[in-house]
Amino acid sequence: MAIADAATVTMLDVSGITAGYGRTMIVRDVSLAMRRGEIVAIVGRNGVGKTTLMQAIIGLLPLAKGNIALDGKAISTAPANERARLGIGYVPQGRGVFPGLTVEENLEMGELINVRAGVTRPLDIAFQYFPRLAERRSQRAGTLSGGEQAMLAIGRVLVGQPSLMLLDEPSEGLQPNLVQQIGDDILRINAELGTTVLFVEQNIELVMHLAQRGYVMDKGAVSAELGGAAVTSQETLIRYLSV
Amino acid sequence: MRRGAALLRAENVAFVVFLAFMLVYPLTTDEFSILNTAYFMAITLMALSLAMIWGKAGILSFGQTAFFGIGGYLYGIYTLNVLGAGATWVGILVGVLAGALTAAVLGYFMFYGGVNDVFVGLTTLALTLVLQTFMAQTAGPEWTVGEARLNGYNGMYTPQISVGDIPLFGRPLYFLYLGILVGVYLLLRWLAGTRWGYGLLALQENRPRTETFGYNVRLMQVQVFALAGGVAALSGVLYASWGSYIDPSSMGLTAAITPVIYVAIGGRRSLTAAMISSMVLLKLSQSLASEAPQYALVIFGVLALLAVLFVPEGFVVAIFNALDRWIFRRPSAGERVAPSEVAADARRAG
Repeated sequence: MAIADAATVTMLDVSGITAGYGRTMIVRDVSLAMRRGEIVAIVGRNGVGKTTLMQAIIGLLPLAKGNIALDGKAISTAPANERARLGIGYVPQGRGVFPGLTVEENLEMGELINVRAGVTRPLDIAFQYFPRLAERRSQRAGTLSGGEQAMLAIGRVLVGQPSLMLLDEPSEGLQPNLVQQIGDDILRINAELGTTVLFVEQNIELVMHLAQRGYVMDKGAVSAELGGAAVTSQETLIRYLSV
Repeated sequence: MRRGAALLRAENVAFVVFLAFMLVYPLTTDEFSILNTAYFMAITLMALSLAMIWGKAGILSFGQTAFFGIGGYLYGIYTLNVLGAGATWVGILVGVLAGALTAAVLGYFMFYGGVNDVFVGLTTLALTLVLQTFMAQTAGPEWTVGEARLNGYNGMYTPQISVGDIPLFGRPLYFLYLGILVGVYLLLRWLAGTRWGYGLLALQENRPRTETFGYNVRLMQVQVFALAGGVAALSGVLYASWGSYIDPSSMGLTAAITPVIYVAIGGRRSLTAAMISSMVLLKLSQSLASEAPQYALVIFGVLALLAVLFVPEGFVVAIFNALDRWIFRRPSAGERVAPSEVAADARRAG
């Protein structure tokens, strides 16, 4: 066999995972695979298990069944902090900045992400993509506007230069022009740093703007896969997302 | 602040003034006051221990009193059995390690078992009360460890810290205690400024979120709990050595709550505030005890209530913040308001 091209190697391999809270399983038998450098969307209506899936991938929820591998290495039983150190940067729904810490302290929290890769990780990389944060560096994160908090949440994982970024509804609570801007920023990060991006989203414009492929979730399972054409087709997305 | 730290802040200035005062004070006063102040310093280590575990890591523990007792008793048991020059110094180490180890074991079961928040308070209070009850019934002659009789409610008589065969007294003892207090204070402040210390601040706000940034949250909780347990035990050791005596009431309910009140009044987020507040309130407590003993606890209760209602960040921290704003003209860097207040900010901003 020929040596596999870097772009075709599976980076994140989620196979048949089932996860939930206590005895209630929310996500059932979900499989998905991502190649390095891809931007993939997970779409679906409210309450179908998108956030639960993200939490299972980062390790906040234990798996009842199935396996997760990152770069061919099984991480199914690794705790969340270990997965972060292996290179997964997780931006939770509602951004999850630490309101009592300053912008700079929030950014410093990202320094342990991907620590295994051993690259130097200056805070400047966050300021490079989000110059607004530099002006606000000593301000408490709780006093930032919603848009600035969204920038901080992404900038914070960027500091660790993760190989894989998980974004849970990056558009939530943002006005339309900011959604557009965050989308452009994510595209730039992907193009310039080669960061692989898996994101959960209900905002059709943002999905069309960002995604190269997608998965549709329904009732805790993947109900359809969307190719490049489908994921940029407004009609298709509306069909899957409308109640 | 790890980066761009401003040295000229009210908190640091207050520490320097405090240190200068403490250095000059014994040269200006009598033997009794010197020893009395040494006692305050021994107890103030409890406030530092609590400010670390509660203020920096958000874990409210009533167990510091139990570690205080473990430190004091273990120091006594060791020094009563092992005689000779230097034994009391090893005894200090034994007491501190016993406290830290007990805290590490308890912390391991609590934090790895998912016990958090108010339940830590309850568990640690239970430990304190169980230990007190246990020690109180050790009056009989069968309760001896080697040469050391535990003596139940009568308390155990312990040797004093000695150089050679001569127990330390007066100014040398005072400066030893001052050195230990300042050393522990500086160590804790340094630790609070490391990545580990920042992780503690973050996990206090949100544990799972901190974990997703690569921090081993439960391990960090056990580490800070053991550290604070060791500091509390050191406080117990210095107390036992100071008075040559330790008894179960030093682990009682009142003893468990007093340091919490001192730290809450001063401001739990700042080690400096907790230290200064504890020294001042101990002094006040003693004056009240001689002049109006029936009102002492009432007055502290009222002060604590006022702090909770009107200055939740603590009186001393509030003064630091005001000075930072008006004199040093900088945003109060040490200011970390109550999470609920921040959440309200966030909602307004969001």
